[in-house]
Parts: sequence; structure tokens; C-alpha cells
Amino acid sequence: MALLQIAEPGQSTAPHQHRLAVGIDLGTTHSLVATVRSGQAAVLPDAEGRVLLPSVVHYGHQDTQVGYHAQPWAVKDPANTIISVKRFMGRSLEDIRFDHPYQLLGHDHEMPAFMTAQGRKTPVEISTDILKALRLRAEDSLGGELTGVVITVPAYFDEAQRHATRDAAQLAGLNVLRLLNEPTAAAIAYGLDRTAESKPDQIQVVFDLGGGTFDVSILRLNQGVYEVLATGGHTALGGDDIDRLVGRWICQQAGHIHLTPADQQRLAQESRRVKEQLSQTNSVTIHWSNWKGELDQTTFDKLIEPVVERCLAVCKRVLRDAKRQIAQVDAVVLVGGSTRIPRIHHAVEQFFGQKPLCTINPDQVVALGAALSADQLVGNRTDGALLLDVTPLSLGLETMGGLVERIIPRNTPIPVARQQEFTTYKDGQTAMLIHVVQGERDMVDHCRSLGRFELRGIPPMLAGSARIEVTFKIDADGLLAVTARETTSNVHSEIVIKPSYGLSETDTARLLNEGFQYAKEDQQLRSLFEVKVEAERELMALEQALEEDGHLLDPDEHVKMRDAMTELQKALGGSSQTAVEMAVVRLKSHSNAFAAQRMNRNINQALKGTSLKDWS
Amino acid sequence: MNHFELFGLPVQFEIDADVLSSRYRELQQRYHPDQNGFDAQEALRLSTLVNQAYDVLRMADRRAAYLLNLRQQGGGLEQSIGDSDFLQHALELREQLDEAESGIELASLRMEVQQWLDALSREFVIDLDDEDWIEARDTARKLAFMQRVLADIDRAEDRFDDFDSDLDDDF
Repeated sequence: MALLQIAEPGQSTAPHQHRLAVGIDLGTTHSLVATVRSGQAAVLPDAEGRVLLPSVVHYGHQDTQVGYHAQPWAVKDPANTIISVKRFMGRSLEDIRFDHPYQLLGHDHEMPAFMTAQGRKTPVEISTDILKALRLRAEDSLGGELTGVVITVPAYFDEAQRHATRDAAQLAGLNVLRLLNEPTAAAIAYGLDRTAESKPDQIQVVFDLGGGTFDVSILRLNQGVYEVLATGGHTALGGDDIDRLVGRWICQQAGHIHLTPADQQRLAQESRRVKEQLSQTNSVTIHWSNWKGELDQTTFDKLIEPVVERCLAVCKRVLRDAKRQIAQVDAVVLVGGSTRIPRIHHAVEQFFGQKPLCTINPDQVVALGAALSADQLVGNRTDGALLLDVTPLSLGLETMGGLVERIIPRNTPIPVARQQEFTTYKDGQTAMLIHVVQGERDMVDHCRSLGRFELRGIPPMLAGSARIEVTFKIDADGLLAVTARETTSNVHSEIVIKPSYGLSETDTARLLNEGFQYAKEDQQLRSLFEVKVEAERELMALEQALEEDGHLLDPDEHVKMRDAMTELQKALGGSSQTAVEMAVVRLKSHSNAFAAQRMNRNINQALKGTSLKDWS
Repeated sequence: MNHFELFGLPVQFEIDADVLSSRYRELQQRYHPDQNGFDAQEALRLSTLVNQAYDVLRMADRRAAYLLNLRQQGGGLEQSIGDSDFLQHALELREQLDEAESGIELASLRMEVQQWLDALSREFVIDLDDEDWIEARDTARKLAFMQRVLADIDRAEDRFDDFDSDLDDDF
């Protein structure tokens, strides 16, 4: 029954309030925050009017600097100035194979921590510092607390990377409305920009080459719905890598073999300058160490050819996955600063046979799209398009021989749920270990390990009789939840999630929480069952004890105890957890006294025939 | 309510792909968690159901199996194909796939498999009409087989594009 809202005289009912929502592009090299104001999406500048926030954090002994203020420290104090932390998010120590000047701590399979002047800092905490800066900027600009944010992630980010991103946002005190894939965000920004276009059913390709990640998505825009048909990419390919290729060339030319961390950072900055200049001029002069030379367009193009080839290979595969031909593509959108490189721009144009769109600033387009999405999700607007995204990587389980059995294939529309049935292989087996991985390879070792789920509490049965139904769910954020139950006895097994990257207690608790989110109602049933099992065990033990030592009780006590046991027996036949619990409590008041009597008798017997001398 | 009913489509094998995807969009617009007005958990459940149904309806092999199950005739689908002629052709296809040396060869293989799928689809409609369940099941198995061959061709094409799916390449 809906309640009528009755206003006080003189006071109108509050009109639908405009909620403050922003979109955040947490980029590898730069981050941005944008919002929708008066129906228009716009990026928010800092006090100095700059919209980009360098994703750089410096941890000094006295204070922490984020952004432009942190950048000069990269050369002065490289070990404590964290650059491109996104490349470390959700990654284990052994995953990190690119050059960097940092001291990383932790085991091979753990998400590493940086050793800084302020102690250990995990990639999650460092990202939080960046997000806090953006949050402050937004709240200052908009003059109030944020209701929610949409944070973008590369479409190709896996579970661990997504979780890490969401954790960072939550630590920054942000309410995450959605983790949005970057190409989808860009499509939103362009889609709405092109409402003038008449074609009702469009196929759009988003080519997103940023500072550290590469994504390609193919979307269909139709009837107000953005449907991602397929997505692909590389989470360790971007402008940073192009800088490294240039840097390597410079070192080779200069004969500079050993670089200090400070050198590395200076080289990275110089390489970036050279790369950016080559987007404007044909040749750039470089001074490095004692060497002076020229890098021209042709040589540069040859240097970055492996990058171009990989990007185009991904495009081919994504087209295949989407079951579309190049000729069917209506528009190609360029996103990310690295698409400004002439060779890249040209390669995309050649491959798709059409001029790509870059009318919206490629640095800003993702944040703008995120802002539009946030505006919609927070309820400020209801006429926006619906986004139907997909999971970018196949989800599978480890089976015999280290192979992967695919449960949810890549590019499956989300949200999605799949079930898989397992059984026990040993008589009386009560636990089972399930190893979940993400990736396209056939061997477990070549895929990304997401976690080992331990199912406990399987009722002991003959091998092969148990029916364990495991349900895998991926929600609209692309995050996974796993639940399990044994169907023949309807026992909802306990799930203990051991994430593959040694996360903190808080994280483990968080993961457990999410796992149970989808089994809330099941939890109640589980509780009742457990309580009953416990009570039944106690009753049995008590029966046994009465058989042996019933004579210890006087007839009055005996009767009272029997009454309490009958009560409990009755309650066990019903389905009220409270009734069972109350009966147990009542019984305990008698059985405890009985137990004490038996104990005394036992001690007396043990002591009989012995003297104090024997015990000292 | 079965998947066809959910999508407002007649319970039959022939399906209009455009109508199917149009209905899919409409359903998601109604039930997706992002659309305000629905309880979040309920929306998640419904949206997942819609995705599940869509997944079944749009692939010929899954649609065929589903139709058989609706008529309680889906038992034994996981058994092997009985038709030895078909198996002979299947073996040849696999051999061709293993020996393919170029994208062009794979493309022509793909066309051949697509033709198989089309023919099998027509056959299934007849089997269903005649209520010839034994035949229908075998046709459904063949459809599933051919679908798997298509997936393998996809993987082979990936390899030709030098795509090694390594997440952590060093540049």
C-alpha cells in the first residue's frame, strides 16, 4: 500500500532532487572526473583550470602529493613516486614483467605492495589517493556530497583487476554505481552526440588505445539500446609501451647500457616528449647522455610496428566474435591519447576502410560517457539508452590434468548465471576444492586464477552419489559470485573463498559477503538445518549417557529431563528455528547438572585407591 | 513460461533473427537492473533469465535441444551420433581443419559447415513436424557437432592471426 505524501501547508512536496553524480576515468597516465549539468556532460577542472590529473602519487616523508605536484618527484625521487599504478592493479608479483624503478614486496602470487617513505602502499591504496583527489575536486566544483559515481575500467580487465578498482573507490568513500567498460562509455558519449544521424540500427567500433591498456569493442545501437556484441584487448599495451620502445632505441643509439631509476624516469619523460612531437613534425632531435641524434617518422613507425600488428589482430578477432564483417561497420571511434599517433590513426583507417571519428577529445570522451551513465543510474534522467555489456574473458574451472572446462564463454551478455554439477570421487568425501580461472587458453597455468572455492559440509555419501550444484553468476559490473549446494540432501554447503591473490582479511570478508548476497534466503534454511543437526547430536549423546548413568539422577530430575527431551524431539519435527533453540536451552539446564554429577562420580572413582602422595 | 513465450514467439524451430533480437532489446529495457523502478535483486534475476533464454533461442543447436526437451523428447541427447555417413563427412571436415594452411582455406571450410547447418536445420523442422523423435534427436546432435566445428574454425583463425592470447606480453 503506497503512502500518500501530504505536504505541510505552505510547503510544496519536494520536487525530484537533482542528485550529484560524476563519471571518473581512472586512467593509466591521466585521470578525469566529469558530470552532467543542465543536460550537458562536462569535465571538471582543478583550481588551475586543468582537466587532466596525472595518475602520479608521491609519498614523501612529510606528505603525499597527487597529480601535477607529484610529477617533478618522478626524477628527483623515483622510488617513492608511483606512476601508472593501474598497471599493477589486480596483478600478482610474477605478472609484473615490465621495467619499473620500484621496490615491490610480497610473494609471487600476491598483489605486491610498494615500499615507500610512508611504509607499504598497495596499488589499491595508491589508486584511492588519486580517486580522493578527484572526489575533492568534484565536491568542491559541485558544492555538495556525491550520491554516486561511475568508474570506468578497460573492457578487458579481469575479475581481480575489477575488484581492485572497486575496492579503491570504496576506500575513497565513493559509492560506486557501476563499473563501466571504457569503450562502452566512449560509445555513449558519441552515441548521444550523434542523435542527428538518421540510421536507426548502427554498428559502431570503439578503438581505445590509452596510456597502458588497449580495448576494442563492437557495439550495436538500436531502439535506444547499446548492445556490446564483442570486446577484446590487452591489459598491458598502451602509450607507455610505445615510450619504452622509443626509450630502448635511444639507449641503443646512445650506447647507454646501465640506467639508474632516475635515468629511467628521465628517459620515459624524454621518450614521451619525442613521441608526442612526432605527431606534429616529421623528425625530432634528441639529446641523451653524451649523444645527440634524430628520430624520424619512418624509423618511429617501424619501431612501433609490433604494437600496430597486435592492435589489428585484436580487431580481427573481435569482428569474428561479433560475427560481423568490416563492411558492416558504420562508424569507428578513436579513444585514448595514443590514437593521436599518425601511424595508429592511419592503420585504423586503412583496416576499417573509413575515416575514424575523433570529434570528441580522445582524452576526455571516456569520462564524459561515464558522467552520462552516472546521471542516468542515479535517477536524474530516465530517457537515456540502456547498456547491455558482456563479459570479456571466458570463465572456467580446473579439471583433471590441469585443463580448463569453460563454463561461461567470453562475450556472453551480462548479467548471466550458469550452473555446473559436480560429484564426489571418494566415499565419505565432505569437502571439495574448485579452482576458477579466466582466460582463453586450454591449460589452467596459462589462465588467470581467480580463486579457489572450498566447499565444506558435504554430507558424507558413497563416491559419486553427491550432487553438488555450483552456480556462477556475473552481475552487471562484470563481477563474479559463486554459490553451491548439495542437492540430494539440500544442504547448502559452506563456501570458503580463498582468492588467489593474498588479500587482506577485510577483502576476504568482503568476498565472502558477496558470495552470500545471492544466497540470502538460502542462509536461513542453512541455519535451521545446522541448529537441528547440532541438537540431534546432543540428544543422542544424552540418551547414551542416561543409559549408562541414569541411576545417578533421582526420579524427579529424571522425569524433568525426559520431558525436556520430548519437547526438543517435537521441535525437531517442525521448522521453527526459535522453537528448536528454546527447547535446547531448556534441556541444557537439566543436562548440565547431569553432566556435572557424572564428572564428579568419575573424579571420585579416579581418585579412589590413590593418595595425595601419588598426585604430587 | 518457456523461452518462446517469454519472447512472444511461436514455439517452433524456424525463427526470425531480427524479431528475436528486437524482442531481446525490449525485454532488457523492461527488466535490466539499470532501469529504475525495479527491485535490484529481482531485476538481476529477471535480466539473467532473459539472457539465458536469448542464449538458447538464437543458436540452432540449442534451440533444437530445447524444443525436444519441451516435448519431453530430449533424453539421450548426449549420446553419440548414429549416422555413419554423417560421421564419415565429419571426420573429413576435421581432417581438413587440421590441415588447413591459410585463412582462405578456413573461410571455405566455414562456408561448407554453414551449408551443413542450414540443411540440418531444414531437416530438423521436418523431423519435428513428423514427430520422428529418434531422427530429431540425431539431427540435433549433428547440429551441435557442426556448431562445435565452427567454434574450432574460429580458434584456428585466431592462430593464423598470430594471436596468442597472452595477457602479459612484454613490448
